[in-house]
Amino acid sequence: MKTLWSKSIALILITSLVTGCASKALLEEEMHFPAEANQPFLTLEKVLRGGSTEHDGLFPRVKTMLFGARTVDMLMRPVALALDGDGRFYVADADAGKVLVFQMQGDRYDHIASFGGQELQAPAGIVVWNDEILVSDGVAGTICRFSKTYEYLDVLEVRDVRRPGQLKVNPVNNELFIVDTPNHHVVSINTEGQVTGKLVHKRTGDQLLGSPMAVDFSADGHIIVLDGLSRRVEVFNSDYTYETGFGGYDRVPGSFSNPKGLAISSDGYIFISDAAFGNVQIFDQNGALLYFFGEIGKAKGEFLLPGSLTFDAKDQLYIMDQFNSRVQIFRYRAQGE
Amino acid sequence: MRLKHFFMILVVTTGCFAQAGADLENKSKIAFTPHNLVGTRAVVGEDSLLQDFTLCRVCHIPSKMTAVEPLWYRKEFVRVFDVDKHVELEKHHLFPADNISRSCLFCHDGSVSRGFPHKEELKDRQVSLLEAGSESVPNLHLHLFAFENGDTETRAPSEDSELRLEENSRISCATCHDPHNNEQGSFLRMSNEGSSLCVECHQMANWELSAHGNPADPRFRDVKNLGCAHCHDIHGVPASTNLLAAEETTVCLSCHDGSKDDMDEVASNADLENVFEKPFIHPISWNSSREMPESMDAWSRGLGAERGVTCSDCHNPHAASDQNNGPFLDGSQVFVSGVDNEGFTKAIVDYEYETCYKCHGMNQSAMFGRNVGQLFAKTNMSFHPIEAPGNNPYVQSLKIEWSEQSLIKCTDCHGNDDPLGAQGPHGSDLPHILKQAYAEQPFAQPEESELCFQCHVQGRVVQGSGFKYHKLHIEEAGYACSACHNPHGSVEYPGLMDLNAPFIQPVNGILEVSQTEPGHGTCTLMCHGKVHPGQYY
Repeated sequence: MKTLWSKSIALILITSLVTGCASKALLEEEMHFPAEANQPFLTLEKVLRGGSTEHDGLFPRVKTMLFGARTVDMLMRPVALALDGDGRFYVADADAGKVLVFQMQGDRYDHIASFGGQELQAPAGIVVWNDEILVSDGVAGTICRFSKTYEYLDVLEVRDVRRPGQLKVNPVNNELFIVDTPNHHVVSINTEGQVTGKLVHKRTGDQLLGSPMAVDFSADGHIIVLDGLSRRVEVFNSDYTYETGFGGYDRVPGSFSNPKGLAISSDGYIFISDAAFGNVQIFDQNGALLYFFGEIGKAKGEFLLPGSLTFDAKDQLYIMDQFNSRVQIFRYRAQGE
Repeated sequence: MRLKHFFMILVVTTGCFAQAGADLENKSKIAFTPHNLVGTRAVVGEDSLLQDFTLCRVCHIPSKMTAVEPLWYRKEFVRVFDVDKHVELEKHHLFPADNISRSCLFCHDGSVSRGFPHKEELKDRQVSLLEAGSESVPNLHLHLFAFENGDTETRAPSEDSELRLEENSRISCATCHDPHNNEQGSFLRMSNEGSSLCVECHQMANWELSAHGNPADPRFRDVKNLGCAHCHDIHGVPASTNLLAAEETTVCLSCHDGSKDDMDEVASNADLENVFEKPFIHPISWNSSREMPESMDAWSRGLGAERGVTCSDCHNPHAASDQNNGPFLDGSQVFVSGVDNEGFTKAIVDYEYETCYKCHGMNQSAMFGRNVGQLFAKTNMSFHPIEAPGNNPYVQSLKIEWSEQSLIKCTDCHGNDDPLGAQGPHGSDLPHILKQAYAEQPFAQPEESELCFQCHVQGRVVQGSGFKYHKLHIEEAGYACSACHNPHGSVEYPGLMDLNAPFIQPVNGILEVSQTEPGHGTCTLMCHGKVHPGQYY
């Protein structure tokens, strides 16, 4: 009888191992852009839906068999992501009404915690600033402060901000930039909470930015703003003076239709996600189209209303594929200037 | 012939222009809505028709520019992006994917427009019964699906309806909303007063006579006006299915809590919230994070552990009514599914017990439930008349309002012990959710079984009507009713006799009560040391 049990357990383990290897092979079929290029610009590394990223191995499978799957949160509509530099990153989920915390361990991304469920209604932006996690709330119109241990602290009061959206920290002076779409401007504050400046559209007189959606900073000190309804990218100098811009409203490559996300790679190129195109276009700072990838859809490498974009220090690009309820993570190979 | 063709062309052309004119007239109304992001009404002429079409560009993507060839990789030259690409999604995909909804959601995802569709309305929407620290499942899933055959309560809008469907009969934002016209408010294609828009597709049985759809009490007219939206979040659903605005129990008790709803000022019907705080309840609280009463431990070994219970197990909120009460079924339980006395499921119950049998009968889909229903079978030797009139033609102790032909309901015995509180078998301070005291111990005063004497005249029972030794057993020996009787029925014995009590033992291996004629027969048993060897009564 004992022998029979041993054989049964061995059979189960071997079966698990075999099926595990099969699914792993499928999962690791890499996706590149361009697909046929010898040295693709981008490679899809992970598709994050919540919980743990797809990974395999004998131990986790046996552990799951013995103890059951761990209860984890799944992403519903990820809208923003922030990294804290120690392998941990935070995904603001507008429909879940909270923030999901993930820990990168090797090639795994494990959901380790969630927070803000009580305090947040519809997170819109998130950033790590001064050892705190700040989350903007698109419904409440507030910025909530949380400690690094996920404890709610209070609301960050910012003058002249009506409804904070995306949050971004300028690495040059550690100022926090707050995108305030309904007020048509981007406000920056220092660590004391004082407003240090506002980005408005000076290209034609006093005209304000139409609907700023996102902001990022280039290595040479430029502040770059995506103006969604104007379908333009506006480039500002570090002293907030307007320098230049580019864009156009159309449905052809090089134009914008419903641009939502902006991020700048380590080599200074501007990545713009477009919800209508379901793709990401790459421009240089003069507005020349360099490349685009993705299309509308639900398969890997496709997007449904892609939103915010974030680069980490290793040039990994996190794309909030919000209406596919996932984050797609690409490895970008810097092309240089 | 040529003249005929000319007139045909003229008619068609005129029709086209008329159609185009009507179309422009409707679309020009956008100038007076929040969707006019240009912000000036100068976009329309004196005839109120659009003359400046700039504002159209907010949503309608132009196609004038020439494609730019990307500098990095020119093998994938694309002339135009397919912004109308169709995406086929799984049935339970959380969000819409049709091209019209996609263009709406560019703004209405919380970026340009405040909040995801109507999410801001969820603030303080319902009284939360969840304990602090517990997290409700948040907003998800939109009101998007394709109409399917076989759903008796949902149908596609008729051809003359103001509502419009997308390809493959799918719903999109534009089904209910006309982004150019805000005359009805919320850009609706038609007025939704009294949920008139909702019922274009949703045909709920008895809605027009229901307490929620058409309350007779004028205090509750607001419920009619708000209609479906009172309980349902049209776009998103937090914790539950069916687009409910919150977890089902929370939704129901937010009004039926004996007070006024904070937001909608709708007077409540009954204080069920307090009833469900009682020690003996139907365990709806298991569906929330509320603590289960200790008295409910028994359920953890039985049916409750398998499925729990929700309000809609016993009530159809679209049909429940105070206008069509029947003798065997209260209006609050009409149009509810159930299980009949043979264990077959029924889409709509005819008798109250069929609702109870969902859990307490021969419901094959419910595991481990106690089949109380088997004790009411009319093939039994005796039973309380739930399914059919009783077997005993002479029940001399019955009160005047009852007869041997009467039927009773489960709720004649089970319900709130507070006669002034919310009625129904929701909860009670007494075990088994009984309305009145029922002594389960062998010895008790008759007053401790007052439940029985709601139908049976106590004096007649004690004095021996029906069974001449009642006086001896009750008054002199002090036995309770439950010492000898099962309140539901008896498969083998007459008079609801229950011989399963540990103090009742066989005599010479025989345990029997027989009836030779009404009120007379023999007993063969030993009870508390007293031997009845085939004793005639």
